Amino acid sequence: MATPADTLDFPQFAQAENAWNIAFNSMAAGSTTGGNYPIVMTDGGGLWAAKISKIRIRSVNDVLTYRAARLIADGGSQPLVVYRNEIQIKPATYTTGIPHSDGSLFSDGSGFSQENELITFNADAALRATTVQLNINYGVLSAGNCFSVYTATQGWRLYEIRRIFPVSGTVWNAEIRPPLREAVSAGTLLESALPRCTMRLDQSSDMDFTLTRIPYPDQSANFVELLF
Amino acid sequence: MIFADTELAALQSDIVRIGAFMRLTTTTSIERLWAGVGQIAPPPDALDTGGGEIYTGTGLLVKIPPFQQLINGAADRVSFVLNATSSDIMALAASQSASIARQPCDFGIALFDQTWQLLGPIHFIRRGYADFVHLSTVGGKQTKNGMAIRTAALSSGSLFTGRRRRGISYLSDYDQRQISSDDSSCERTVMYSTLGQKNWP
Repeated sequence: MATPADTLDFPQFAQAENAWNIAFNSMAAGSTTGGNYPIVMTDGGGLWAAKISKIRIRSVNDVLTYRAARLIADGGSQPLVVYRNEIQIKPATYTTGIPHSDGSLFSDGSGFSQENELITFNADAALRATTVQLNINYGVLSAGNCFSVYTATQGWRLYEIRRIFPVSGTVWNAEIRPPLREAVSAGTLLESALPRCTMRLDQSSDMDFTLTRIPYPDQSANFVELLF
Repeated sequence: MIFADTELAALQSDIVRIGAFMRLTTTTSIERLWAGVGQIAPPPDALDTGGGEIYTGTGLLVKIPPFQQLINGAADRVSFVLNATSSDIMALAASQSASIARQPCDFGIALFDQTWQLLGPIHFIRRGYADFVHLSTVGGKQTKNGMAIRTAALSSGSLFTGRRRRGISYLSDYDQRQISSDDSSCERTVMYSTLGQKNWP
């Protein structure tokens, strides 16, 4: 069995569409005479499922990359780190015009760009916690944003913010889903610029590929969260 | 089994968040599984008085059978079916089948609040004994997505499962006359309708 340390990344395909949802397991008992509609949930918080669609295959290199990615996925038998590629709503901001160490800029007058993001856990968070205290030194997090945390046993895990409240200064309390997969100690860094999750291919045939004449058809792949 | 007020309130709400837990003792270890996602460390309960024991999530696809209460001597055998088992669990099931026979297999529930935090300990509602593990694979052509599905089923009985008890019967006139040839006390038993209920014990 692979471990978090030797889990490979699934390639990020430009302009592919991402659908990330939490799969729940619930049962309804039907409507009662009192007008209630009781629901029983047994999933313990749910499991991430991702559909990466419209993977554009435009060139021979794209074909080769996709076929290599299919082999890395290995029919769903291998864990993969899948990136949630949502650039348009990424919470991090950027500082631009950063010069070289000697103060010089590029010949066109521009400098480097750097992401302004430094968010850490402000306090220890227990296994399956759904409220965590964060220290947002730089950057912004709001409800609906997602982030990832790397832990030694479970590797990269993805969480989404349900609600977030200021406590004092840079400290915020965030309600997250799903519950924390592993306890996290204070000071652990959050990854919100490139959120990702350890997953596996949902079905072994999910990345079947037929090489056609140009233009090549768009491809898709479905993943489900894999826990070590 | 005593539920706290908060647990009773959760049970009475419209959305009940519940976890199903199984604790299987083998001759070498105690396996703790629950029908949710990820690991969970419930507070001390009737069986794990120290607390802090980790239950491993088996995913969403655990089929838990209905239980019959042991009333009027009904002693059923049930099977816990685990679908989509990993190769590790299959290996465990195949190799440890002998070590679980007649070992305690306990099933319990625990209630969560609306933020998926446990409201109390696991309440064990069935205390059974493991019989055997049955492994099977459903072929790809028989499943919806074309993949073969492996399942592991753990058969669990109670202390009374498998006991022998004679069915209800009546002494016939012929039987009685074999004992005492001139005894006619059972000559009308043939007219009785056969219906009865034997209460336990």
